[in-house]
Order: sequence, then structure tokens, then C-alpha cells
Amino acid sequence: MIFDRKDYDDIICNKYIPLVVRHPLSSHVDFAYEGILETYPDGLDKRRFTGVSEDIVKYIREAVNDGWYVVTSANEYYLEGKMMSGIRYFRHDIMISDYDDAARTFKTIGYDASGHYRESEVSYNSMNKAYYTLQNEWEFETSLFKINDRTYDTDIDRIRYDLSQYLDAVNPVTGYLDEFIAGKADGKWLNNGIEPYSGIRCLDYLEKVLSGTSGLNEERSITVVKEHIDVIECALNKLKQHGVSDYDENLMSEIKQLIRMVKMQHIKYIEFEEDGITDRMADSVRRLKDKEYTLLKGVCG
Amino acid sequence: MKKLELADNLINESASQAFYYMMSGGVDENIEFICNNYIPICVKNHNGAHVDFEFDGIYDDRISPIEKLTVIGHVDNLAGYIRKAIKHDVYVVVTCDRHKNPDYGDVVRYNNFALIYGCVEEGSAWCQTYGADHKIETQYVELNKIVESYEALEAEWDYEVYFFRKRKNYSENVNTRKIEKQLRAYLDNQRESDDKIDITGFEHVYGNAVYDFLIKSIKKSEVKNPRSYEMLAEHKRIVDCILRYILKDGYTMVKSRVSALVTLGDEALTQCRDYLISHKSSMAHKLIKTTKIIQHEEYDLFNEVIGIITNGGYTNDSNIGLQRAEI
Repeated sequence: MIFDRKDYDDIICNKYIPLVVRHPLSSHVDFAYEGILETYPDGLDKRRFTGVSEDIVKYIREAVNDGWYVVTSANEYYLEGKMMSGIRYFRHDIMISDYDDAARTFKTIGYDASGHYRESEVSYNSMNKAYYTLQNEWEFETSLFKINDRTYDTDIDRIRYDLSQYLDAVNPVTGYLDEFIAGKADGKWLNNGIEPYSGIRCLDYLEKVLSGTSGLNEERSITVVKEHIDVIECALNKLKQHGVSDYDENLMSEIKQLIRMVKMQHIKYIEFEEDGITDRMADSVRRLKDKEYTLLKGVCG
Repeated sequence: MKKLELADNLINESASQAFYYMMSGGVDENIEFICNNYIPICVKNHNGAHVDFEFDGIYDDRISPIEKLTVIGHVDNLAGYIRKAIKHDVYVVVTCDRHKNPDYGDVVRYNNFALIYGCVEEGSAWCQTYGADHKIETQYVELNKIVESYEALEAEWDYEVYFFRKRKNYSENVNTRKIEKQLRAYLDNQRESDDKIDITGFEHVYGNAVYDFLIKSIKKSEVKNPRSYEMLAEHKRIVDCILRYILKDGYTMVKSRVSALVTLGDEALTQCRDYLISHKSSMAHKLIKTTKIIQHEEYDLFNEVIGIITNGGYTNDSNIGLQRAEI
């Protein structure tokens, strides 16, 4: 969210392709790559602060004044509009981009109770509670991020490799351990799934859960798949620009139409509980997968 | 059967750093890196404060003598990956459940780390991990047991495997200017940080003030184990290695004082252990007295070292960034 994808597509294409399903509470489709945890220099400068800040409100305000975005651990119990608000202690990260001293609030960005990324206001008081109640955790951290002027070259071979791994539904670990052994994956930080679905098989997972009874909870997965398709399109454009391979733009636009349809079907499902809609959603995801497979097969061979 | 090399362990009280040292070849191979990164200490822990090193080796964010691959989540055939990794000279650190640490009271789960550095075909492995006495020890265990204890963390955030390998042809210049700044910050009870990582504790105590903190803790009967004193003893040995390397001929000027400090560190550790057994106030007084002496001795020593560095006494020229080849 700190990056504008248009300006930083080199970084994103090289790092954000594989998908995976993982969450301690419930599985969902997600990106494999935790960019903010990455260990090597990229388009963002980073600072990591572990342990307790004497005054977290002051610390965040000073960091924001200095141009940093702040990502901190927070106990969702004390934050409004979160999955675990007022329910139970739960550690998650939130990002803070600004503050308002008059209203005594931070402007934050993070998942809401329905799994959407949303901006919201958090009072200084709530932030104090959400932060200081986590102090017995190992992973009690605050990270600061700032856009830097480091240039980043597109690694076309990496894009092609990732696309073929995605297409073969290879568990990212399989490939990356081999890559690490070959001296090409130093500093990588991979987020693997609890559910054994990798690469394009994540769409099988989504199809499966949509066919079942938990489709209502899959809004987050659908949103991630939509973002994923944008990244795939961006990656394919990179290959095209570098004269590596062309792709079927009509097929890509059909895929984008399909994911928009899945989103609409999901809204209908939530609002009108229309009969048979989950089956139609599952069918759309299956068709999306087939089309994506054909599209990428045409590129990767 | 294959066993990877492990360097002698200079650190025993922090698994992440001990593993880092052992894998990267220890002081002998990485003195430049240690010189640049290991001086400051602070107080940090989430279940009570104690003296600690600032630097979390295996979580380190900077390019260093070892390459890293971090994997979060389920790994199909983890045992197979471990065997494959070892075969290719890659060390594996696995987070494990099952370690019950009495210091943690009601905490049921306690994450431990196991550094796997050797395997045999039948499925057993050599690893370094915290033993029952809170010391890093060598264990010979079945790989399946390691996998089982890893999988027990499935529903946790801290469900991670790290792969490490020595970086080929790694070299680093010793930055004496940085060391000087770190020492000054240490004496001012501040911390000198770069722009990458910032570790602090529940107690905001840095540098030479950790001794004040320890004295206060003894007076309040808050020292429950020898960990802080073990760290301080280790710290002195590391400082000895660093000074020996950066001061060159100038080391002779401080050698006897460094050596006395190392001895004092060991003495304080012995006194701390005795105190924890006896809980006698006379032992506490003795420990406080030794701690004060260490604090003053170290203060004077570091002041002198700063002077030697400032005056260029550590080498024939006073340029920063000495190449290993020049030594």
C-alpha cells in the first residue's frame, strides 16, 4: 500500500507472484510473499524495533513526522471493527500512515472484520491498550518503512521461473530450497500454507470452499485473486516489453471479467442469499482457472 | 552420514546468536563482522528483564557472513528437506514446541530452536538446542521427532524453518569509526544504532548502565537465574576478541586490564550462582561489590580504547576500514 504499483511494478512482479493459503485462524488464498519482512534492500527503507517502546504514541508520531509509515503489532481486542474486536486477545499488525492530535487519533490501514483492507481511525488510548497488552509476545515488533530512491532491475528470468512454478502448482518451498542451494534465494522469506495448495491450485481451493458452506467467508480470498490477476497482467506485460513473449490479451480480459463476476456473485450471495449462487461462483472460479492456465501455458510453454 | 562444521561456541545464553556464531565460523572467520556489530548490550526479555546482547543473529536484517532462507508454515516432507539441505552444506534451524521451561510458569507452550547440522540415512540428526539446564547442548534425535515438534506449532504465527549457509567469499571492512561511536554511546548509556534494526527491552537500560540495573535487581531480589551474569561474562570475552583485533599493537597497552575484566566477569558469575543457591545477603553484597568494580573498570578501559582509536594508535595509519589483507 505504500508503493504505487505503477511506479514499483519491477519489485512487485519479481516478488509477488506465487499464491498460498495460510492463516492460523482460517485458511484463505493469499500472496506467498511477505514483502515487509523481506530481508534485503528494495524500494523501501526499513527499521525494525522489537521490545517495548516507552511511549508508543509518541514514538509513532515522531516516526510519521520523519516520513515513516509505521507497522506495529497490536491486540485486536482493543481495536474497533476488527475480526477479534472485544472477543479475544489476538495479535495482528496494523499500519499507521498519519495522526491527528486534535482528535487524538491515528489513521490506520488494516483488515476489518470482513477481511477488507480499510482505512480507519484508532484513538491514542486504544492504541496504547492494543500495543501494551502484547508485551509478553516474542513477536512484539514495530517496523518503519519509507520509500527510497534505490533502483530495482526487473529480473525477467525470475518472472518466467515464478510463472512456471505457479503453473506447475509447485509448493514454493520446493523450488526455493533448490534455488537457495544454487545460491539464488538468499534473503527470501516465504510464507507457506497450512492447506497443501500452492500456485494455480489455490484456485482449486477457492472452488472447493465456494462449493461448500463457507463461501460467505471468502470475500478476502476473492479480493486477493483479483489483485493477483492484476500482478499477473503486469508480469506478462514485462515479458512482452522485454521481447520475451507475447500473451493473449483477449484471454486476459476474459479472466478479468470473470473475477469481477465472482465478486458480484459474492455480493449477491451476501445480500440476497440467492439459491445456487455458490455453485455459480465455484463454476466461475473453475473457468477462471482454466483460462489462466491456457494463458500462462501460452507464455511459459 | 554427514555432519557440517560448527565453530566453538562463544555464546551460550542466546540461541539465535550462538547458532549464528557456530554456523558462520565463529570469531576466527568473522572477526570483522563481530567487531562491527557486537559491542552494545541492552536489557531485553518479555518475561522479565535481563542483560542481553543487542543483536539477534538469525533474525538479522543485514547482509552478513551467512545466507538465509526463511520458510513460514507447513513444509511437505520436512525431514526430506532437512536431509537434502545438510547434503548441500545448508544448516537448518527449526522452531520446536515441547520444551517446557520452568522459568515460564504457566506458559504451556515454549518455542525452542533446534539447529540441525548433521544427518544419518536412517533418519536421525545431530542438533544444537537448549537442554533442560538452559544451556545449549548437542542432541542426537530422530528427525521425525523434530518434524513432530515443528508441526505442533501449526496454528501459531511462529511456525518457521530457517535454512542457512556460509556466504562464499564474504568480506567486510572493520569500521573503527563505528566501533568508536558504539563505545562512546555505551559509556553514555545510550545506544548507537544503524538504520536497520532496533531492539529494546522492557527496561530502557543501555551500555554501562546495565550494571546499575543489575545492582538494583539484586537489591530487590529480582535476580532469579544467572543468565545476565553469563551474558556479561560472554560479553567480556567478545570484547577481548574485538580489542585484540582492532587495536593490533595497541592491544598490549590494555591487555592486562582486559584480562582482569574477563576474570572479574567469571568471578561475578560464580558469585551470582553462589548467591542463587544460598540467597545470603552477604553473597548479595559481594556480588554488588564485584559488579561495581566491573562497571568502573570497563568504563575506564573503554575510555582508554576510545583514546587509542582516536589517536590512531591501533594501526600505523588512522584510516577507517582496514582490510583483512592489510592485517
